[in-house]
Amino acid sequence: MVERFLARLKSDPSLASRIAHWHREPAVAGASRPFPASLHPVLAESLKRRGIEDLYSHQAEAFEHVLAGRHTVVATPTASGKSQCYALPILSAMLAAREGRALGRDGSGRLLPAATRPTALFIFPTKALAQDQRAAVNETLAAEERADGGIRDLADAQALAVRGLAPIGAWTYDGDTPPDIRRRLRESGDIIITNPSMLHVAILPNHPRWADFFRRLRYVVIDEVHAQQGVAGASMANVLRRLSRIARHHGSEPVFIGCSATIANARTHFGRLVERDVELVDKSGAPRGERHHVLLNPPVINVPLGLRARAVDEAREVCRHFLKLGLPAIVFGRSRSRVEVLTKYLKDAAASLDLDPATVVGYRGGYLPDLRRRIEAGLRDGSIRMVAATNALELGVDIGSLDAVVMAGYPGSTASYMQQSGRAGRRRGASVTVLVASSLPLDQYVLQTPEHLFGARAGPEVIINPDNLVVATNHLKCAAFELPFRMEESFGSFPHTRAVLHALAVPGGPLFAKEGRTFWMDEAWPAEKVSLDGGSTDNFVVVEMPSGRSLGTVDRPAVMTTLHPQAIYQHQGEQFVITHLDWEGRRAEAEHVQVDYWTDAESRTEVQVLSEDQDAPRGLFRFGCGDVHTTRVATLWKRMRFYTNENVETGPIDLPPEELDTTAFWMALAPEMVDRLRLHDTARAGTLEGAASLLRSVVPALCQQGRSEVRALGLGSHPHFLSPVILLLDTVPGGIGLAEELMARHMALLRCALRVVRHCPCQVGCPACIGTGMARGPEAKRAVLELVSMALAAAEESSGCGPAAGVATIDSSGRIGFAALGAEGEH
Amino acid sequence: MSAGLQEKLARLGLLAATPSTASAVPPSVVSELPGRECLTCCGPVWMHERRFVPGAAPLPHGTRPLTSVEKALLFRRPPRHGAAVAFDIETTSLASGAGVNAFLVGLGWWHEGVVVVQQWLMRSPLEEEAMLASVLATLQRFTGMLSFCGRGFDIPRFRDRLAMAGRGEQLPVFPHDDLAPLARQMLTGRMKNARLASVEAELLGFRRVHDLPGSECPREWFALQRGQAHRMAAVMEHNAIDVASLFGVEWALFEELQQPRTPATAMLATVAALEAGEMMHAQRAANVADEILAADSAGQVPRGLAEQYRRARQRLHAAC
Repeated sequence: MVERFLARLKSDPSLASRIAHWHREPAVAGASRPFPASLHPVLAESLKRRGIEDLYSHQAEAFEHVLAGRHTVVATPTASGKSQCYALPILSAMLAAREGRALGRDGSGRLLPAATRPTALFIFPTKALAQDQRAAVNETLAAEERADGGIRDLADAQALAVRGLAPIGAWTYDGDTPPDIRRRLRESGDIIITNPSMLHVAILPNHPRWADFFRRLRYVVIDEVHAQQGVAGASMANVLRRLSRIARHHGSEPVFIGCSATIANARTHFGRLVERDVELVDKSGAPRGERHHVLLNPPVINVPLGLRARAVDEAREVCRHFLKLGLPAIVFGRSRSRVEVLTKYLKDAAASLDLDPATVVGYRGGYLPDLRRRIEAGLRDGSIRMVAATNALELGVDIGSLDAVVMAGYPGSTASYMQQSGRAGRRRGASVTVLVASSLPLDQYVLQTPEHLFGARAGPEVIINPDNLVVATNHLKCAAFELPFRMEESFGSFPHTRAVLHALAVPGGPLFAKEGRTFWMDEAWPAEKVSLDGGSTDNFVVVEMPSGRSLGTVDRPAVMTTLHPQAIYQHQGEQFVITHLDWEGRRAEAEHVQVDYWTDAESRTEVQVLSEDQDAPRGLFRFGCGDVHTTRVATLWKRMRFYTNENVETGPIDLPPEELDTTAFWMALAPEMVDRLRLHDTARAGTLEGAASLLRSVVPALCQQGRSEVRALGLGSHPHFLSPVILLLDTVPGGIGLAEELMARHMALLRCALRVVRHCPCQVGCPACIGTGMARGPEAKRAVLELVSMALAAAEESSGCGPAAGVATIDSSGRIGFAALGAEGEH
Repeated sequence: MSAGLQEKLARLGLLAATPSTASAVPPSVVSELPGRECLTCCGPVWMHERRFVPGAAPLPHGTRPLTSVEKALLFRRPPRHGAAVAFDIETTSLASGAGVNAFLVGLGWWHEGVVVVQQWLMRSPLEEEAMLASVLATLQRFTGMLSFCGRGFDIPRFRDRLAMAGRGEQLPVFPHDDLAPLARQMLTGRMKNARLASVEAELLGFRRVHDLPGSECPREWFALQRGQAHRMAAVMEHNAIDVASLFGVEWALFEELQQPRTPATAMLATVAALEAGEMMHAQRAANVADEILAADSAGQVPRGLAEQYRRARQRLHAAC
């Protein structure tokens, strides 16, 4: 089936002409090892009964690490049997303990007394994943499933009974767990499967009730570690600081085991997350079917503007082939609104092919849980043939085997690409991933440098900053609620622990310090107010009128641009117009409409610099980072026509501004640069805006942050700098470490930017390089190129990086005819 | 700490808006608190003992300890012997969790015709260990517990504190009579809410004056930590009345059950006596219920109670 598509891809001239890169991963035979001696016989029997006679090499490797008490991260491809890497050693240790044998060491290397029945905590990013995992682990171990749904007994129940051993109880603990089951699992659960949020708001704050569980806690498993980045990652690291502290209080030192997609820095990332030395297992011994990665570049449809056909339209055409061939496929869009547009297009396409449009669905965050569960089930049982999804479906939610994955635009990071691609080809046969590049600079960068995706050490690094002041302080409060601090106590490696404790212990603060200890002195319950993904507890609900049906939710910062009156809210490919927004009541009313447009909105941001934490003068440039206060206000809405993308109407938005305290990286230009670059009047703002847009768009090539986590401003003048400046703003309160990271790697940032703009085929600036704002025309593109190359030259020269990639070099080598443009400029 | 970090925390909204500059008052508070310091094996703790005589609020005239049979009739269970202790705590929050302190524990019991209320106050969190040890020692003298909402609130919170102190296993497992569900059922439609103060007003005709609302107690204890103790006495008074009035409410509920005036109480009396295994009482109550029902069949009866009563009548009939 996949072969038929691949053949068509080669033979169809229109498709073939779009292929920018074709990467074939040959089938891999795999490497196996015999069962380890300490694998419990019950488990070995259970595996053998299912025809498994040995382990993959990486499973055997992880088995040894875990039982030796070494913290371990397993970073092997999707469907390589990662859960066995931790399930087998953990269950072996549990079964041995039931027989009175001591097996395995804890995180401090101690061999635990045989009398202790160890417990384990499995942390999965979402509730759905936890449910899947419970089923998967049970299946692995041929376990009995019990009718109440709450308990499943792990390990082979019959074999255990023959040996006179009690079964191992694994339970999911989440918001749906009924109270009486909660009590039972606290008292008798061996394995608790939960999500970060439950750990944060329910388990840790109530640890006295879990005392017995924590006393015996020997293993902590964290899945989808690569997704723990940005605020979620920083929050997770802090939740783990709290967990470690509670475990230590109850006398245990658990072994931490992580599972990750393949990322460039799995070892350092997991090490940072758990703040421990960790072992890396990344050589997969699992066999894999043949996999094809096809990177398509839509044709340039407007040569002077360098405009390419839209990725969404191109992806739709690719999907039509899959619909025709009857190949189940998933198509990923980069935003919720794009996914809704895709859903509508694909339903239309299905109808035009005489297929039932109901077999095509959309899937994104903001849908209510039961709808999502129904879609997941439909994918598994085959009643749904095609789904358009955001990255909400990228994490390992079980949707069965698909043959093909289409991405409408590069998902922003190698890890995301690999995860999304991994949704196809779980079976042995061939599978295909089609990436349809958009006009964005990062997409074009990836097409130019496919080694970015398929190289030996592929991809950007996942960065987290567990010491983000907002995140760490909030969790320090939670920790102080959970257990008094000694003033000299550390909180992971958070450098300001003592200072923040003192600051919280002032009169009126939530802490009270006495005799070198802190005590929680507040009626408020801190975990309730701390959200793990960065303040999105403040949600607006969208209600369909007059039925009163809830359509979904929107985070507050997005409200001003998506739920303003007149906005089109899209849901399952249908349009709803916002008729009323109740700001206080956090509620928007919407009416179903049939229109041929959607809405987009513009906003304006003002920045006040509060402190300069780093300042590096480099020739005529000044690089720096520090704290800023931003005020963002939505200004205009625009009606965009479906298919043509034409702006048919605009109107004003009148909503309160969003204020944000965060951090920023900046590059200020000495006033002389204005003359050097001939940046006068209108050209100045355009050039700076274009350069800012360019820099922002290549940030994800350096660190795995979505573009949405950076906002870029290019200003002709700014009262703080008294000169033109480009600012890259972290959009997380307090900053998530992006500004410091960009400051440390500003040369790499400029090099990436230069590469993109130099290789862009357009003449006048386009979405693939300097954006489509005010900057337009050969002059604007030349100015941006010159600005970036001079900035890079200045930075490299000052840092002694050897011969600068100076203006002259670019002059003579620019594929886009920089020299010619430059000469033209001198007339 | 650096002024810079402090400022940054404030700007990010991580601190109280303006840290008040009031410095801690020296702990000259001891003289203002009723009670005395007691030394336990785990250090000092503040204790206060009060006695409540029937006829003075909150105990109505005639209040007396119920016999084991009377208690069985009231709480619908077989009779059991031994003395019950009334239990009520004040906590720093209505939420649950490791950071919620139980800073004041009140126990009460009958002794020679009066109700004795013993209170333990931890003046600082450092006295928690002593307080818990001393309360546990006192609890050993009893075989049952009486509370208002204690099953769902006071006991779980107290057990959390014991678990935090590594004494999770030391709380005696008592039969526990909780007055709250009983009062809710018997006084359906007669109170605006099911709080203890409303029950007192309805049953004991007792209205608290100058009572500190329970919701204000945490604040007062926080103030005590800063050396401001002037309203802590009011908190202790509030807790002492909560404890003592349990005996008043228990007695009044029993009286109510003995002389039913509404269809609901009459039905309850029948059901309760049957469940307590007191057939004579049950028969008598059923007769009374029939009389009342004949006169006032429209009175409010909680959902389910009518059905329970119907089944109780059938069982009675079969037994006769």
